[in-house]
Amino acid sequence: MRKAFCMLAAVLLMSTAYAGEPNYELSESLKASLADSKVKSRDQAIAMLAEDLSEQHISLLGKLKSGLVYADAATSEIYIREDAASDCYIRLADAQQICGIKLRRSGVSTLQKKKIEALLLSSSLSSSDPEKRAAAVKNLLESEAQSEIPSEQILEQIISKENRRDIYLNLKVAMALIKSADEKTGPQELIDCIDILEDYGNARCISALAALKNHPNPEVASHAASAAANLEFKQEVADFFEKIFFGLSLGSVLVLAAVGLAITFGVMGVINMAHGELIMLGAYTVWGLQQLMPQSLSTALFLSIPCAFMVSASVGMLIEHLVIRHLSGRPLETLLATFGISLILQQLVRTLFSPLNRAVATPEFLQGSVQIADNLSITCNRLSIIFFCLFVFAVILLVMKKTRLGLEVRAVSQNRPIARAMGIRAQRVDLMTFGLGSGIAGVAGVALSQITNVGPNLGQSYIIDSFMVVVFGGSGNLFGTLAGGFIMGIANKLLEPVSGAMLSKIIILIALILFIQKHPRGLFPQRGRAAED
Amino acid sequence: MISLEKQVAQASLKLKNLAQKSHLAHKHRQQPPARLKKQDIVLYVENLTVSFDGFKALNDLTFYLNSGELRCFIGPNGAGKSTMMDVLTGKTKVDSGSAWFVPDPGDPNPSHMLNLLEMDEVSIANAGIGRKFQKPSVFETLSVAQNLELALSMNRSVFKTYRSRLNGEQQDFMMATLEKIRLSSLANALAASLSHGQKQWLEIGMLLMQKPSLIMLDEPVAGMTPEEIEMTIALLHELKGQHTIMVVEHDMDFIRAIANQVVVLNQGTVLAEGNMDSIQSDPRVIKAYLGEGL
Amino acid sequence: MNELTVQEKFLSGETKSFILVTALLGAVVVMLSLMPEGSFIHLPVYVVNLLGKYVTYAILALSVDLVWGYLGILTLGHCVFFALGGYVMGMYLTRSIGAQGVYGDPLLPDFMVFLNWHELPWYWQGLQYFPLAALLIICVPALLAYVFGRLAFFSRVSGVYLSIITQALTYAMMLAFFLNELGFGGNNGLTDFKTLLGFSLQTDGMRILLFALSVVTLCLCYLLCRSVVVSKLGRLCIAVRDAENRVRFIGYRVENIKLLIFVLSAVIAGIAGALYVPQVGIINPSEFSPVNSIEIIVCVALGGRGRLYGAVIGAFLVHIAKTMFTNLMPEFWLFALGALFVLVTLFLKDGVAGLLCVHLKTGSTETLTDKA
Repeated sequence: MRKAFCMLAAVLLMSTAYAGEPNYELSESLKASLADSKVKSRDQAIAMLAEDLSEQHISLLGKLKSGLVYADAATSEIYIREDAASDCYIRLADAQQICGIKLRRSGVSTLQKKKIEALLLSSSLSSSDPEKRAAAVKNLLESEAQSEIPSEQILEQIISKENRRDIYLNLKVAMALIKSADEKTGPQELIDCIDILEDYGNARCISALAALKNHPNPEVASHAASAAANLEFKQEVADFFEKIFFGLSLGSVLVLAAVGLAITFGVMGVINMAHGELIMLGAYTVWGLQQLMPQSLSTALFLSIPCAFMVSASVGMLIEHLVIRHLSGRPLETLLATFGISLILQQLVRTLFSPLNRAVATPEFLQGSVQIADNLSITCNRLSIIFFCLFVFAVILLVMKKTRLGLEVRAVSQNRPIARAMGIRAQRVDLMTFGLGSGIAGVAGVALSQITNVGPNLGQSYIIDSFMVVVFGGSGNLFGTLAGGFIMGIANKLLEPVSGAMLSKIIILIALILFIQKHPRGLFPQRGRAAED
Repeated sequence: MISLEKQVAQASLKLKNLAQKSHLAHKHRQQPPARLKKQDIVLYVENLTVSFDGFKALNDLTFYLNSGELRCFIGPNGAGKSTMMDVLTGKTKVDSGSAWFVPDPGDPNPSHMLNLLEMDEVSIANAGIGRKFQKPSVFETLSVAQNLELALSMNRSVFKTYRSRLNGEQQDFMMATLEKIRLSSLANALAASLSHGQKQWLEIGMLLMQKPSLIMLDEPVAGMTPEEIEMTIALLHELKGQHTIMVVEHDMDFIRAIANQVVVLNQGTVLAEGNMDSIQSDPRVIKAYLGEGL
Repeated sequence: MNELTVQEKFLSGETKSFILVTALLGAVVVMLSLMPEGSFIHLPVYVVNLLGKYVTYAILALSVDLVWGYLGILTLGHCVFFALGGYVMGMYLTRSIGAQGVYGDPLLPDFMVFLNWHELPWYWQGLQYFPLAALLIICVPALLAYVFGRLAFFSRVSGVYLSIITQALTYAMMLAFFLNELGFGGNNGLTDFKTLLGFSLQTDGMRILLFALSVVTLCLCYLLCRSVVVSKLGRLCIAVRDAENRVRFIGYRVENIKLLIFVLSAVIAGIAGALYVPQVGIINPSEFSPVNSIEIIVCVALGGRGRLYGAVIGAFLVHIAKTMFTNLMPEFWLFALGALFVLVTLFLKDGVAGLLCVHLKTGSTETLTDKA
């Protein structure tokens, strides 16, 4: 019986919505009230538009709210401005575009704006398309501004017509929000509202509950207080997990940036100060490929992984061949020389491209977010960086453990003279190692391009942190780098809200120095006599 | 629930055991060895065990060193000879065991004995133990005389060093040492310009400048020409009696020339001890050096 | 065999000629600047000011050479101490502005008024007195160097690890000084100085005086460093650089040696910074930026590390080149600096001073090996 009634109501609603033919011809009185110089006369226009909420009227109301409706004072002809920045208008009567004319804006007061908002909301809440309705109510519940909720009576009507359960429930929450703010609501009804609000439990519900804590009725107040406390606890847990997640994603970036560094440092005892610039080159490779194929962003991104590897690896090998090879056994001088190279590379990018940041587009499959729990959602690009980091790490492990190159690299890093005596060409291994480390830097650049701006200073901002990771993790052990990176990332993100971004960096630095005091060789040190010398 | 309680109980028991163990170990180290206290022993090494990632570099190593003695340690590679010196000079930490040093052999008071395992390199060096490394390590950009000057025993504080000037007595001591190590004519030459053997001597000279009571020499004749080895043997005979000396070496002729008492180490523990002839005919030693198959 | 030359004479030829040349050049610059304007040998005061800036860089390079050239610690963050000394000086100069500031507050500096602060933070108290400021110019860098050195050296962090940590230190300090809440003027730093000890900073006479003062300080710092370098402590430093472990087994506390030299060097750097600020008229967090410290390193490398006068020569060469580049083609300065790094480390490891030594054969017996 009830179902039938609902259906009938829906049919009725539809029939009213499509009563008038879509028509750009506005009535003269509507035109006049829109064109009138007094803001007050817009009341009349809004009322007339509200009588018949056709699609044009809704769109016109929207434009009116955003102040894009203009009128010719002489002819009372109505124009719509294309957007706030452009100087072109569309005449409503014949949909003609006219540019560069002088028109008067048909302004609305704040009160009228609110009225329009309520109208628009209730129209979308009672839209025939259930998806639209669902979106509208979701929007309503998530929005910060209290004012946007329509009046109790209108909402009551809408609720009574709703036939989809999820929308119905959400509408109930909206209703509870209104009622909780209404002083006339009785205590028992308020307690019901509190339960509904606690169930939904977003930020807006929490603030509504907080307001109810001071309710004169002690039962209501205590109920609200316990509900608010529950929600706050949940929120804290969610916040905590969110921080951990951010920490993990920052950690993955650090691991990606540091692992190449760790390999070259472990094998050659060389700190490559130009590592950050190799990361930057990787990020610029993504940008370049996207410029080449702007249509297929995701293909460009996937293609740029091997490309960035090749670009950075070849630059790295060039550096090894021209400079580092000639400085073997002089680690501090190598550090200085590679610093010089990093300056040159940075300036080269500045001169060739621009000192400004370049925008790298994020392909669609990396946009959006994944909802994990009620109040915990994580963005796809950060999530995929974690997986990407683990993938790259696994590949490196595989290369190190299963290939001939990996075997030679490990041999040289443990005992160079003996490895050479066994017939391993240490110079070639150095070259390949440096290429591998640099290539990974390029891959790290690909990942970085998806979460941060690509500019000449990109490498600089991550390099010191990744050095810290290598120092923390201990050289010569890839798992140390992995653990070190994640720990540093999480520590950073947990400290940040407490002490601010800059102070947390300083705290971490001091903590690291203290850590090194206890464990001079990092988290996973190499033991034995070779390590002691 | 029950299993959880059990786990907790087990864990607390473990903790207790651990605490007791560490307490015992502590006690063990704290006490100077009294039962073997003899007038002339300067170094007590008991039950030293060191392991690197499961590999036992030293395994329950025990020996005693008499004052003024020259003791040679031989053994195949990886027998733990260098690790032993690392432990005794504070470079490597041990898992268990004890090592006590008598700085002044004329003073039998056990409370003046030093627990080497609780000291760092610097205090061990200042207590009178000098060490020459396997790889000659001298200050290459300083002259021979300057190398010796730095090693000269005196107040090691930074300010004293800043103000220090050589007095006549010290100058004479330095000249005498230069004479001893056959480098008088090269006193003002850079250490970097010395031959491999001369660097070894310079390092021994630096040890002598420290006036240590115990000298540890790690492969003193490695890379020396036969003539240089002859001179080193002569030098060691001069030093014998004035200092207590421990030598680790592979060169058997050299050992035969200088030592009366030889210790063979194998797999971190003492395999055999005695004079050179008995050692060389000991079947266990032969097996350790040449392997099972022979 | 009585001529054991263990000790180099403190007042050897090198010391005397350095002091003589520096004093002479300084005097010539002062004389030329005092010539009547328009005369053909007149040196404009802005050049004197620029030279004064170079002299403070030379003092900084001297301090870096002490720890890098002699002790083998490659510090990539020595500008921390330079900037700290500069900040203390800047705070004194800011307090001297008094009510002459834009907002006319007799007590609070302009930026604090702008930030709506009502009280002077405790660490700004008393800095209107020059003796206290002078004391702090020495103590603040010394304290930081002591704390840092205590942590780093005693945990035996060395080599590239130490270099990285010094760089992280200066980076962290830069971030910290960017914060407005810290009370050092944030991004803009301290500027608009008016007087030093009651004398206006804007007069030509003051500029020339500051230059002369810098030259005298350079000579004094050189003498101080020189006295360390020729002493047994200096030889001990070289020993630490060549074979740190050997020094330990001889019985010296390497950590104490490093700590003392590091603190001494930090103090010298702080004094340089304090002289730098009144001459350039501003101190801001960019002085902490890692690139500045690296520039000083390249000065020392180019001049020839392990030779005090080399550091001074290098500081002048690099900064004259920097001024020329930034005036003529600013975008190429980083290319030039980068190339300088690579070329000096590859082909000129003993620096210009090393070349001079070879040509004049006046150098001491010490030559540098590959050990850093």
